[in-house]
Amino acid sequence: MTSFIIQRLLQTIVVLFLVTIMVFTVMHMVPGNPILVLLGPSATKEQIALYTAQFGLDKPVLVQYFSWVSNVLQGDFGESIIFRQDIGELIATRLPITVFVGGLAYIISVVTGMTAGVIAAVKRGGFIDSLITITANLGMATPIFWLGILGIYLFSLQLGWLPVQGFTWLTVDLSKGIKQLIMPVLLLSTVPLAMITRQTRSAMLEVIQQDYIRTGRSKGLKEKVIIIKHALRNALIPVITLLGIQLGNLVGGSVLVEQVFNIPGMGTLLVQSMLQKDFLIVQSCVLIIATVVALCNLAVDIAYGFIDPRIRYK
Amino acid sequence: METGTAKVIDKKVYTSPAAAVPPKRSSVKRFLKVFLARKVVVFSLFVLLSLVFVAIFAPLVAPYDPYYQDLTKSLQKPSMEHLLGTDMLGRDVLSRIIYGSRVSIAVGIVSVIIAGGIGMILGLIAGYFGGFIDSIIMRFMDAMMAIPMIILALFIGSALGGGLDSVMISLGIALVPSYARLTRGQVLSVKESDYVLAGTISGTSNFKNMFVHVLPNSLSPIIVLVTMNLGIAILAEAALSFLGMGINPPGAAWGAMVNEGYKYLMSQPVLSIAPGIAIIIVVLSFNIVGDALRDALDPRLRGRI
Amino acid sequence: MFKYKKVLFSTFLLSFLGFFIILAGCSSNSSTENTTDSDNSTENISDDSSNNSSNSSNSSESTSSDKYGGTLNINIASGMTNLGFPAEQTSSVPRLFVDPVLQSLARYDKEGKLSPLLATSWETDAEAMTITYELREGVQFHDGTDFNAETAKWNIEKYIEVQRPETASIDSMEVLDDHTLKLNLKEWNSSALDSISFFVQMISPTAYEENGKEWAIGNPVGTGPFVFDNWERSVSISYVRNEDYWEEGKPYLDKIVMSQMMDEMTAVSSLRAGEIDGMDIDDSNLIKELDASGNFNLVLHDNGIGSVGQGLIGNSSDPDSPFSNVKVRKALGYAIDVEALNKTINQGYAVATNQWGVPGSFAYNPDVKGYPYNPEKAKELLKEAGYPNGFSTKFYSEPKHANTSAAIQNYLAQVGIDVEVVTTDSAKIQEFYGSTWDGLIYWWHTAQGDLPLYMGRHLNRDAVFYAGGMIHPEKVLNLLNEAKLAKDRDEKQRISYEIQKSVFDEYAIGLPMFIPSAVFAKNPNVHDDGFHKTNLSSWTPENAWIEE
Repeated sequence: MTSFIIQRLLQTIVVLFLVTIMVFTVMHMVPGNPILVLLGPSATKEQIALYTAQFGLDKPVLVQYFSWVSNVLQGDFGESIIFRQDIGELIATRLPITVFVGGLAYIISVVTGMTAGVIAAVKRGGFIDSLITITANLGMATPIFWLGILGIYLFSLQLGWLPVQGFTWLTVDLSKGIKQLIMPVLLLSTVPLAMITRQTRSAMLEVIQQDYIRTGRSKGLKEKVIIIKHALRNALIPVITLLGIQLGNLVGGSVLVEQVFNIPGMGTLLVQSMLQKDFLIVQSCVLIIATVVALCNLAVDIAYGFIDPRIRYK
Repeated sequence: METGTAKVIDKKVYTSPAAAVPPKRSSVKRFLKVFLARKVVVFSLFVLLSLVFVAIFAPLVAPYDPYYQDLTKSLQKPSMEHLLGTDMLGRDVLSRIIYGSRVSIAVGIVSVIIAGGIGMILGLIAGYFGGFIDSIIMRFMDAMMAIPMIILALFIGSALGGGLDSVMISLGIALVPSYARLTRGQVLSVKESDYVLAGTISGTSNFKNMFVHVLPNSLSPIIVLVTMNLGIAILAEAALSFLGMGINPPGAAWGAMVNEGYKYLMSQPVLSIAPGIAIIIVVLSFNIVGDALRDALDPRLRGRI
Repeated sequence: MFKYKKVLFSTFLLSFLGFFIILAGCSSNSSTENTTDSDNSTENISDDSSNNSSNSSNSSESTSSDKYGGTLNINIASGMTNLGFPAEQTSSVPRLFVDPVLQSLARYDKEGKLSPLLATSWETDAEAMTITYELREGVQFHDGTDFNAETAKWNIEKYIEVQRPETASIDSMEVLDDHTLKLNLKEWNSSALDSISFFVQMISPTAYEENGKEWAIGNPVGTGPFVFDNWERSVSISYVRNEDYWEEGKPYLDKIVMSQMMDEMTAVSSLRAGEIDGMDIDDSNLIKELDASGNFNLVLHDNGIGSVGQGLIGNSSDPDSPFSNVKVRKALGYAIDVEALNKTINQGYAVATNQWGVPGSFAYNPDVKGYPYNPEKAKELLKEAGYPNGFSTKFYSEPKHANTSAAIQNYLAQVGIDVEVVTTDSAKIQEFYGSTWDGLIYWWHTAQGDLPLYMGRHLNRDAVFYAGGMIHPEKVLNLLNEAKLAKDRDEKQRISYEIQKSVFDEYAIGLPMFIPSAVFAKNPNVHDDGFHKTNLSSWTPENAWIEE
């Protein structure tokens, strides 16, 4: 098991190294000059030269790449060209927000999704099954930013129940914070929730039809016991795989949801910096997101290795 | 050791040797029977066929020229003349939605062709040759998968510059890893099965082996993946448009229309809601048909794609 | 079981549609009810302004007792990168964020004239090429440092160090006494007084020297009515009341929070929901909808100071570009019905213009003929230029101008010019601004009346923005230089008229189209904030108050 973990860890490091190359290359292919964005229309040629040198953008691309990577390895993400702030500090205020909102959405989608999936599978073909399946299908088919905008229109402007935008830490203002969280969290959980529901349902259906469950039934075990003790445990394996994939979906979704609700997380930072071509922020954000996703996939793999030992030794 | 790693990476991919059985004639009937068993599938299929019909015959179906501007008829409410009203430049919204189906289909198909083409070739190479080549290709795929699709697409798209072309290409590239992994998994499972071995013994060349045996056997999961991705691509077009990377004017695309229309949510909600519903219906249909295809072609794919 | 699904599927779709129909119902009601009120709400503003809008110099008319403090929440949809080191703060919009804490020597009043702030008076001598400021006494920075001639000199020096164009004409500075500062210019520059007085904002040299530049950028220490509280990058900036402000009895507010929601739709929703008190707003439809609601005051910026002009530029510097031919550039003007376009796209929230600035502003020349809509004439000119069948070209534009671009495309198609619109995001279009482009590009410029300063940003030979795709005719350069050297306002205006005539009627270097009214929308209980009353990029935080 240890050698398996070490091997996967090494792979993750290689993957992250490739991510740095990809991100850096693409970012430097994007046309646009952050110095011009910074200086605005009153810029003169002298000023442009001055600032280009100040941020080291006049150095060869390879030098820029290596100095970035070596700084990142030492925990220094550099200074933002546009925000004029240490990127590490900037991310330290943004990342927890995204993790918090995303984490809530993740918990909701896993708990609700698995419950709904089990219920749908147990009541297969019934009214509840249809309701759950159709809702899940709709959830996967709706552009969530669009749903968010309609939600703001209905719940904030017409009904006045929820705030339009913003984020407040619960420790600062509990009721305001909760109100601000409701719509973003629900929206963010839509897609993962739908997918987990569908996955749990079909995994459960498959397991229920298998011999040992039938044997259990014929032995007169209670339905509840069968479902919870035997079926669910076996249905979990493919679901766990999906949980890793959903994390990526969640991060992608948070870019949109943060934009709609003006939540100052990694998503808004990333999109804004991409538009302003603030290289270092974009590179650092993508690298951090990729690290989180890769580590979670690693965790899923390891969990998988524990649950299903065949994977390790095969 | 090497194969051990490979298995781990590809656990998300269907690797059962059962798929390696070539489809038989008689199974076509059974496929159709399972595929069309549910009425909602038939309905969705009907939706998709009419979408294709509308897209092809858009000039005949649309009541107006979707690009014709009449500034004096700006932002008219829905009426008998303009069923869904007009937009700011006085263009007929219904006609623009009808023409928008072309963009949606184009975005879906082209991005899937790009993704499928590149992904399958990479998967074939990785799976067939194995070893170092395999590792390099698959680590790159892992790196791409570590970046959420929408961010990756936005990223590549902004490097390519805006417009329909870059939307299609960036989505296509962002979807490559799923095809590469899928194909590679198929290659690995088929590689070990009997008839490929038989092919090697009877002296068929390597490449012929790949194309003759591996590809047809990978078709079922690929078809399912393609159907699902068509829906995903349409949603992603909308999301990219919302994030500021859309198609160029005067083109009509549903995502761009939703995004442009939401400024008029207070006065003329139909501008944003109508294309939004179009997206939902079409994506829903793709998902339902994709599910049904999967069940009919190979139920074991369930949950893996 | 399939029946269930079918029924469910249809009920679901129906309820979905029902939801939208309700949405549609709600909204259409509210918009039709109130359209008649829209004129009233605009009138309210002018009342408000004539009664209350006041500068620090003449604000004694209202007593502070009836003015409630509280917190003012304002949204400005603009980037803010540097709060506390204005020398390196280069774009002018962020000044709005800084106004509560940092002050300049002077600022603009409603008529667009400089009015005293940290300087009480000034004298210019065109012959001797000097500017002499008398500085306000008894002013302290928030850290206790005195504001005097030395600190003012130090601040101006910082600007010179980073080669700011605003201070480029200064040769040397002399501290005559504690509160008198004399500037010696390299050559006389009619724009120098305005740009130095307005753009140089004073920070405490002691705070800067002690903590360094990086700290200063994030921690403004000025002389303003509010003290810096907190800055959450690209989210919001907050200020609290300065108890020791130099102006007696001010400010009225306890706190100011300036948020930076970049999405206008979100900000408008936030305003409607009462989360913010005011915001600047660009999109004409959102303005119209707010106006229709009748619940907000819309302040239209009408004096043209600092407003942004929009238009088109064809690449005239590249000899291979069709737009290098002046006839083609003129044809472009005749081909587009700017008035109609303005009416539809901007819905009355912009002024059409045929030159630099709004009609009636300082440099606006009523004799400029421009290019009134005449597609036949456009075709004729194209034929004379050697394009009887038109040509194909590109048009670079930003996503937010998608409608305008599509309309322009449509107009040009009618005279045979086949335009491919290329939408590019803001960073990318900046690249074109800063270098060159092929075909047409969307043109925005600070359409202020000081032509040598603002037009010079594009037309001077060493300029950057749009300069690479423009011709720089000797005649225009000479005129700009003459205007720079002008000894008084009348002379400057006379030369400015000539510049307008030459740039637009003779060379048609760019096609100005319209100048958005730059609307500031606010709750009616917010008074004297001064937003969009003077220069577009400054306001009067010390006078602002909220009615209870």
